[in-house]
Amino acid sequence: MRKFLFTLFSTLPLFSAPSFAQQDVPDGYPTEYSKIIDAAKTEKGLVIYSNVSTNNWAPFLELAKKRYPFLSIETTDEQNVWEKYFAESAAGARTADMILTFAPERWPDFVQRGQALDYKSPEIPHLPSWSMVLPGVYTAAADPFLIAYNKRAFKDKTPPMSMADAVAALKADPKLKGRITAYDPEVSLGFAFWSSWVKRNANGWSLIEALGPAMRPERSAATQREKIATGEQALAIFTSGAGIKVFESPAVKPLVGWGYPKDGTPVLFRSVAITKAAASPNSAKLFLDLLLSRDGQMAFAVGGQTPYRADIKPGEAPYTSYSAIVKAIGEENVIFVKPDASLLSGSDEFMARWNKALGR
Amino acid sequence: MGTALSVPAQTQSARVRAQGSGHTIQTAITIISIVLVGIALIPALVQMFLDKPLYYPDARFTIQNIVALVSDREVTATFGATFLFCSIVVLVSMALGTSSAILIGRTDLPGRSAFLAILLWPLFLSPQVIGFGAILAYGPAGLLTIWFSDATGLTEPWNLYSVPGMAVVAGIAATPVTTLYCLTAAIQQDPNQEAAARIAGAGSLRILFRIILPIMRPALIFAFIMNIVNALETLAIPLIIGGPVGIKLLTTLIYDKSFESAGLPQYGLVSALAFALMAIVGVLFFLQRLALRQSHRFVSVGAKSIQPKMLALGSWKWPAFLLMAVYVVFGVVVLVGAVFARSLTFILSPDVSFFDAVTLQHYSDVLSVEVYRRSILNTLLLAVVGGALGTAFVAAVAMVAQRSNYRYRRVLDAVAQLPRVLPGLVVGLGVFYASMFVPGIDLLRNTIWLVLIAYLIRFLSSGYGIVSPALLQITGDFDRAAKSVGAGWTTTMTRIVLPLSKQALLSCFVLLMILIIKEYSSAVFLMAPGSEVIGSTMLSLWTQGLAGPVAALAVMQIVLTSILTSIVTRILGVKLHG
Amino acid sequence: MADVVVTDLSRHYGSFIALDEVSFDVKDGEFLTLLGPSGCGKSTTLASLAGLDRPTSGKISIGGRTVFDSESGIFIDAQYRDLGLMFQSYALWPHMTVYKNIDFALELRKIRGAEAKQRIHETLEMVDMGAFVSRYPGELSGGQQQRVALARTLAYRPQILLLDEPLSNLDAKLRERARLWLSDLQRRTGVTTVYVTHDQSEALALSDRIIVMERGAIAQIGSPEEVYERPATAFVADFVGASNLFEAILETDGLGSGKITLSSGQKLTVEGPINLPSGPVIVSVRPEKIELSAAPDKQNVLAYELEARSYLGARNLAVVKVGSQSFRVECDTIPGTPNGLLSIPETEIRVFPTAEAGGRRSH
Repeated sequence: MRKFLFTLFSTLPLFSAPSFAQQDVPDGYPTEYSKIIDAAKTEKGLVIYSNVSTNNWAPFLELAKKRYPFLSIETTDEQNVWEKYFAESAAGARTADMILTFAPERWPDFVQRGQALDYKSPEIPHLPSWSMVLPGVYTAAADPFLIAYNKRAFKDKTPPMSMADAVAALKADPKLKGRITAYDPEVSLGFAFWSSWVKRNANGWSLIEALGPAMRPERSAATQREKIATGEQALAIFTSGAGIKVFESPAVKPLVGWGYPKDGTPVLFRSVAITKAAASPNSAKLFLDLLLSRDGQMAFAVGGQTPYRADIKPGEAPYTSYSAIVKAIGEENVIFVKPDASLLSGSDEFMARWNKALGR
Repeated sequence: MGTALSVPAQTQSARVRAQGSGHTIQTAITIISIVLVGIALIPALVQMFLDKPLYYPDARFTIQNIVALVSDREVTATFGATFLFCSIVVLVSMALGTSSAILIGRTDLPGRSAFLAILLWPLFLSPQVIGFGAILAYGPAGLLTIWFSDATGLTEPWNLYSVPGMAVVAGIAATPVTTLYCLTAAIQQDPNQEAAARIAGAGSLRILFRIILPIMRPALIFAFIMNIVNALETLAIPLIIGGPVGIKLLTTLIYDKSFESAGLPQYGLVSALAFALMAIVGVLFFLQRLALRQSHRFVSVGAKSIQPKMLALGSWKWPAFLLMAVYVVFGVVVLVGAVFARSLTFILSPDVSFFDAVTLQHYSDVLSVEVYRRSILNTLLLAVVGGALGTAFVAAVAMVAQRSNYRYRRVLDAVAQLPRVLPGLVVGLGVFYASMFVPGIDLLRNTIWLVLIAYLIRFLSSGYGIVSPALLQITGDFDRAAKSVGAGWTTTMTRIVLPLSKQALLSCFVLLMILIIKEYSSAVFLMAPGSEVIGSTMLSLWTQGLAGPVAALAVMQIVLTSILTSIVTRILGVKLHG
Repeated sequence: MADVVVTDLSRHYGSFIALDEVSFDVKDGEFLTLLGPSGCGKSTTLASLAGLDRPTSGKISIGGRTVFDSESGIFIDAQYRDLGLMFQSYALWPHMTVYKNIDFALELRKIRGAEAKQRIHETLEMVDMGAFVSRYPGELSGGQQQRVALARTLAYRPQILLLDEPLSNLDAKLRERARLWLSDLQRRTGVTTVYVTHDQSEALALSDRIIVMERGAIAQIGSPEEVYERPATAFVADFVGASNLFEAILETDGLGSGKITLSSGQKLTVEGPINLPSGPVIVSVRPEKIELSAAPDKQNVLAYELEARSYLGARNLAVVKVGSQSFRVECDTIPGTPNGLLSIPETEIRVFPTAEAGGRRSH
């Protein structure tokens, strides 16, 4: 009798729930996961505010569509994610179910305001522990910032692959003055990794000061890439890893070379969290878990983002991956730029020193 | 003058009753204008006194934003560069704009219409694309810079990355608007005035400086003030050109401090700047009013029909042609050409043969994505509907403000000028906020119609700037004649003034379409899946670092604008100018 | 048709007084002209009558209806006054044909269909413009535009017709002809007309009565003959008919007659009655009243010297000098000799107080 009851109960879900739901629970996920799937089916679409372009979302969204055909997903690409979310949630209007963006300085505030849903993903066991710094906030990608150079400017010369190299190259060739571009710390993202880089390098400031008068900072990776390719600039210090896709394209490859800075490669966390104001939290959970899964990371990588799971080996992802970066420069030369409340202030002091170094 | 208080006599007939003084309509137009501008203004006003964005529950009252404008060392340090920048922008735009307007509108310069068609191109482009084009053409590794260096042997013929460099680019970007403001005034001048001067023995040059320019004074003063305002709020070009060399203007500094730097966005500072700008512009408009106090002296469309004759340039013909060609080729064609070339290549570099790099990839990148395609369609829809609605609204406002004796017409005039100094972002924020709290508007949330409202507010002043001087130049005798035969205000406006200002209204329609097609800043807040526009798509591609697709989109923008304007030109038989 | 009564009408622009308590009336069917130089207040008066400008104070009634009364705050806007106003610029709406220009007012009065058509053609025939119905104003000459403008104001049969310098944009020959048919038209239609002009010959030729205005006030009201023959002030004498004006010293004989002494010391007798005390006066003599080559026994004979002559076609104009005093003389023939005698009939000499004596309005 007991055995019969056990059998009955254990098989009940098989009959009560539609069979495909059971099949949908990804491998290794608890069976209760089907409840999230069922709940997601009753929700009305998923809205994600992000700083990822539609193009770059495409490969992952295709995967999500295949895995959860019932999800209707809308992503935005904007710089305004926080302000829109705060304003809309304050007014009780429909807003994002999920936010995905860099902004390391804003995430702690977001969590502190209780706006991040503290969801425990079944993917946690597969994620490196360094990727989770705030409750409910995960890392969607870990994008490196590179050094890129104009191949003609460094013809017959070894291109510099660190700040120290760059200082030496400038000493050897004063004509490089004004032809070194850097990602501008005036922009919060630039400040985040420049200040992290200086913290790591004891002689960081002296290098910046040596290079300063020769540097012309840019606020956009687009102009950096454009100017390196045309040869207006010879060297770009810290340009977005999303550019690898461009640098490796047949037209640009003969013009531009790139590499990971040896004296510290900033790796920025593109963080993601489900919002407290989410109208479709279950859909968001499905989406988040898929994004963190190996398949999801690989699909996201096709769009140009950098996957970071330990089970993605160097060379597996199309452009780069965290393991490829480590392989190239060693773990000790990776500088994580992760959500950090201290980045919200202190830029004034940094900028004062920076401007002085640049002779402004 | 007080209002004409109409006391209908007892013997008034039905006819008389139907011909009201238009008071109700005038009041309605005024209220709608105030509400619309208020939507943009009130959140900004509140924001000015808050230390955090106004929807933050922990935002507190502060006057620091206002204090910062005058006391913050970083802010005051930008005053010098800002002044130099504005002076050059205004100088370049006024000099190029008025001479183009006079040469094209008033003289027998060869190839006038071709020049006009080309010199308006910058109008179709967002400023960041113009800045981008300038770098591609005139930057240290720009195509023209290299060619010029090779030809002359000069290593650094010019420096784009300087205050004068970016000011010239910003001035060139502002020139088409100056040209348009002055062209109508130039074309509508009574040729007899020139003939009189010629008989008096004045040569062409003397006629130009002593007759044509002074008669154009209202348009010149108006264009001058508009140029100052425009120069003061120019952001994109100084940001893209001055950023790398650390040149800071007031706007770029505030933009940095508010949006780019680490920390919470300082919308309060933006609002404070907007209101400071408003105060400056208020003073400018007051001065304009003083200067134009007797603007009726300048009514140049008399009641009699005249056939304008073109001023013969004589021996100045070909030198003028050459100067004009230099400006059009190097100021316009090269800038736009660089963007066009970039859209067709993987890379635009003197190191790479153009033909090796040529590709249609950027176009297919843009057109293969549904969201981008939708943004183009949305923009098209907004341009046509917004242009038409906007023109109707501008016409209504201009007629109350300029051609009625409505008690608050001066107020309306001021209200219509206000949005000019409101940064697009502030307008967007205001409409965004209204969409959450104002009943009715909330139904429009996440649709392009909300974007439309923002555009109507944002471009009210621009349209008004075209229509209002045009109305000033139509003699009031026409209205008085209509009134004397028994027509009320509304009838007079719709039957007499409206048809007479057809040219100006169509110019307004075209201008609004152009502005809407390239606008992005006010749409930033209102973007939602489904309501994307070209401007926001371009911004997003730019921040993604996709310069090629940005160039491709810019070219599509030009094509779209050209198609729309030529449709209007052909079908309605008008020109972009009066 | 209607009477117009204007009472104590004033118009101030800030501290400037454009119109200073002007009162007059216009009788039913009358042709009244407001005559004066620019800035005299005639156009302000017309705008007040039309309802295009709101006066500062006073009262206007048209056809028994009060259209403006500052005391009771009544101001009826132009569109309710049912007047016809013709502009100096004609103000024909350039985007409408001649037909449409006229039809507009009829449409506002709900006069449509056959009646409208008939009226428009009737009115156009009246001004001899029947052949131009479908033309645009830009395709018409100045004279034609003027006729259309008049037709536009007449077609809806307004209570009164206000004409603001309607002939000033025409050339001399056209003006002459236009004057004739305008006068004829007014007699035929019998419409009460207020006509504003600075041209005294127009005023004299057309008007039943003339109001001469000077500096916002009425200088004289009277028939053309009265205004011309018996100007009330030196200003009127000068403005209407361009008199010879000069200063002289008056001696009255206490019986109403008197003598004036010119600056040259010569004396002329003046027919009475003279209502002025002895002393300096302004003297006015019409150029056509001076007779050249006069017999020595005529009245007021003076020796002159011929200074200049000009041929006017039908008449001649001579400028002659008597002592230091110049006179303009209009006559049929000018004597060939450089010197001669002239006579000024004592009935043709008008004397007015000097400006200092307060005879002219001053401020």
